[in-house]
Amino acid sequence: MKDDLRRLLRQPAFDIGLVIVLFWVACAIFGPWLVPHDPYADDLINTLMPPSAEHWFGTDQLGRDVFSRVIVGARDILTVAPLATLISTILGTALGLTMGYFGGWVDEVLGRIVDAVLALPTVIVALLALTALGTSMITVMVVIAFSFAPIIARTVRSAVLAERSLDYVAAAELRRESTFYILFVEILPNVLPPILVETTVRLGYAIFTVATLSFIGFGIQPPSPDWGLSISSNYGMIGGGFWWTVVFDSLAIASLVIGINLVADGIEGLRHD
Amino acid sequence: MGLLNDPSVSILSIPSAAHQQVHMRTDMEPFKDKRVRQAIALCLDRPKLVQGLMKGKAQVGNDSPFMAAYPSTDPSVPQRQQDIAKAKELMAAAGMAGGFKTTLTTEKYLEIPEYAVLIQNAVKEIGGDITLNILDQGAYYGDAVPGKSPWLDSDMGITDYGHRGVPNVYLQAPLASTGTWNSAHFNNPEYDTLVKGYVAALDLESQRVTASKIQTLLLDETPVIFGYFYDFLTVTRQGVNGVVATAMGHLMLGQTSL
Amino acid sequence: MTHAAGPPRPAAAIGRTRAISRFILKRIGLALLTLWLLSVLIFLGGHLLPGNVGRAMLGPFADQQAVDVLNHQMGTDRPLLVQYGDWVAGFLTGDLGDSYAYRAPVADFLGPALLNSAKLAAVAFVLVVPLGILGGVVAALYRGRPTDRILSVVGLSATVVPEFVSGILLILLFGVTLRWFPISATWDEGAGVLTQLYHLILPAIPLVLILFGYIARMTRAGMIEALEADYTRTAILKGQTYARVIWRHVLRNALLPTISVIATQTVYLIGGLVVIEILFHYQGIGSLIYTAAKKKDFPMLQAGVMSIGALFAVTTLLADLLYARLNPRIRFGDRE
Repeated sequence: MKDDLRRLLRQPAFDIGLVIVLFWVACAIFGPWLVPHDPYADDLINTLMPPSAEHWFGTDQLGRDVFSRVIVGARDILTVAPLATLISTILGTALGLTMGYFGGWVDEVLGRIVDAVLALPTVIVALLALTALGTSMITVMVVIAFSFAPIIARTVRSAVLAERSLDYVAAAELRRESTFYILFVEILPNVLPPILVETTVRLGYAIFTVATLSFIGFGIQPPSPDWGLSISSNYGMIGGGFWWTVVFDSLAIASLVIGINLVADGIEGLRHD
Repeated sequence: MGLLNDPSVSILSIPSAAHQQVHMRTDMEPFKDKRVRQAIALCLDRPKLVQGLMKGKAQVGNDSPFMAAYPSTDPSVPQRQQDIAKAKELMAAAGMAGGFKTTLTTEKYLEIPEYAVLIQNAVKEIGGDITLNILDQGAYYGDAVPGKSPWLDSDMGITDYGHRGVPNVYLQAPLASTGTWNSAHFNNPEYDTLVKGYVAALDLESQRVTASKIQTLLLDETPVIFGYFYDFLTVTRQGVNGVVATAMGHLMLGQTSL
Repeated sequence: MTHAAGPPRPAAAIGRTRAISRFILKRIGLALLTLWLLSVLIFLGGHLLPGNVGRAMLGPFADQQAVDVLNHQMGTDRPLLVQYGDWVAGFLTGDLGDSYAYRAPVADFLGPALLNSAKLAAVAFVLVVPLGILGGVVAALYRGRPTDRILSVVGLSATVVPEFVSGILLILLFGVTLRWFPISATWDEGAGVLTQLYHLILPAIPLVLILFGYIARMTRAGMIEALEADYTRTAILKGQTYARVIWRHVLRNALLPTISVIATQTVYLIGGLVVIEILFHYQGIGSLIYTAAKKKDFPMLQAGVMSIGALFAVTTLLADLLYARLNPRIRFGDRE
């Protein structure tokens, strides 16, 4: 483990990614205490002011300080995306373990369903969920879990197939251990590494998806300074020249997504060596 | 909202009676006591709302449907101003010095989401903790019957009302005890009688007398906050002149030039 | 590395044909299953709504009786299974129903929208395929060196940035500040091809960015594999110039994985289309579906998603078949 970490840290791409991610995590945790202005306080006299010494990123249409909002805005996306990824991982792992262990028609049937679900773009699934479930945070999590679990399941299944024929599994079966025990106590620990790698990669996609979905109008409620929500509320005004209300949030999303993916890429590369 | 800030268009505005009603359920905590409702209404800085939120394209409202431009409106009824000190007094008198919690449910339409955020901020001064729940318009109206509609069921909400030439509709459906649009569940027999009298009045003078009484009653009870009445806006590209519009949406282009 | 095995013997030829037919049938079967599952999903999604179809059409202020009458007229008070059967039958015969929001046949909107999206996708493809392949080739030729690493990181970064983010930054830079391109993708009626292209370039760029990384990476991998293959060394030993070798042998084999990547990435492309069409105010299938979802216009939504699903299934199928056709391993009978 330690060697792996050292190897990772030597790659410049990984380092840059890690710094970016840690920066935003710090913002998410400590943001409210570090920002110069209250991100929620309106100031109707000073709406839509361009960046200045007083307001580094300018103010939005309610006079709120954009800089403070961008910093604190990290919190929402860094709460929802990891949580949604976690749920997908749990579901996907359970699914993958089942498919890999039982094989046969269970594997075939589930496999076909998995393939069919994978054919659907997440955004389309989200739009369908929108009509049935409304635009709440729960919908966002359901959509992500539904879209990502199959991908994780596939990876887990492959890993399980490799373990399936090993002695310790046969031994457990001979001992008449329950299926649950075999799956989760015997096999699971041995397939953990690929699961962890896959989860990190999925986290990158989850952040991408949560940002896109909140831009489209899902989930997060005002007055949250969430980046996707801010961009969604303000992009209609860029024609009028009010660029600061969207640029900084956009750059924040871009940097976070790139950061996570550089980290995930590094970890994934490690496994393939 | 975006239009009001866009420098490449010029906006013609005419005063209209269109407004957003901020209702508070008079039959639910924490709004049962009228002093709480008054206190909340006193938190709003209405001139600043008109300037900052509506960019001046609105008239200040006085918590009744009687906007300044209606002929029957009594202009001598004192205009409610922001008064945080008084608001805190009222909350203490009502036993809510420790503050209150509630959910404000409303629709994603025009400037309403921003208005909701401003209200949320304003009541912080009196210890108010409002959670916002902003729905799509269809979801907000639901099935438009009590029990199946956030519009009619919510403890606190904001509803859009279009322009009407006379205040009669505003007086009845949203505020009369038998009104079908009564989000505040306002049930006041004196009010009902006054409104019947207003509608039945035959001349402007008697209308004015009744209107004055209604205005005063509503200012006291405040089941609904009428913060401002926004102008009717016609938008043209910079450089187009001579377009005349009416608040009902008609455009007279007889004298238009580029 | 494999190489051509020479003319197959008759028995092996029959076996090969059978393997290919099995392969094709399997792929087609999968595509059909996907479409069927999709139809069920869409139908369920549309009909699990709180509130009902009649209410959605007449609005919240209509009389309940009127709503009931409308529901009966439209047949939406029948059992779900019957409605589903009806809808599928209608879809297969080309009757896509009427839009709730526009009170006009869905097909009238679907056709033009699909065409518009196709134009946008075409522009994006035309831009990204050469760029991606070029990137991959360069990265492969300079593999291990800084150029390679930089291209890799750039490609990765471009891929992961959400389309609306790159779209907004592009609008701000090229549309608002520099004024090089229009910020709305909708052109005036009867505009010529060049005008249309002009409007489509800016919205196409986010799509290009998303796909560039994948294509470059696949091309690079394929190139490297081909560069190190026997036949390449043979060609060089035979005295052919390096450039000729690259052109004749290497590229041909390198492009194989690229084709399959293009097919798989179509899925992500469609998601991107929705966001980009919203951002650039473009009347494509993406914004059509989005508006339909927001307005609860089920006939439109269902038809839109089904057509995308069908398109995707067909594209993937064709790409798979094309890949199988070109890949010597599958062509000459090596079992998968």
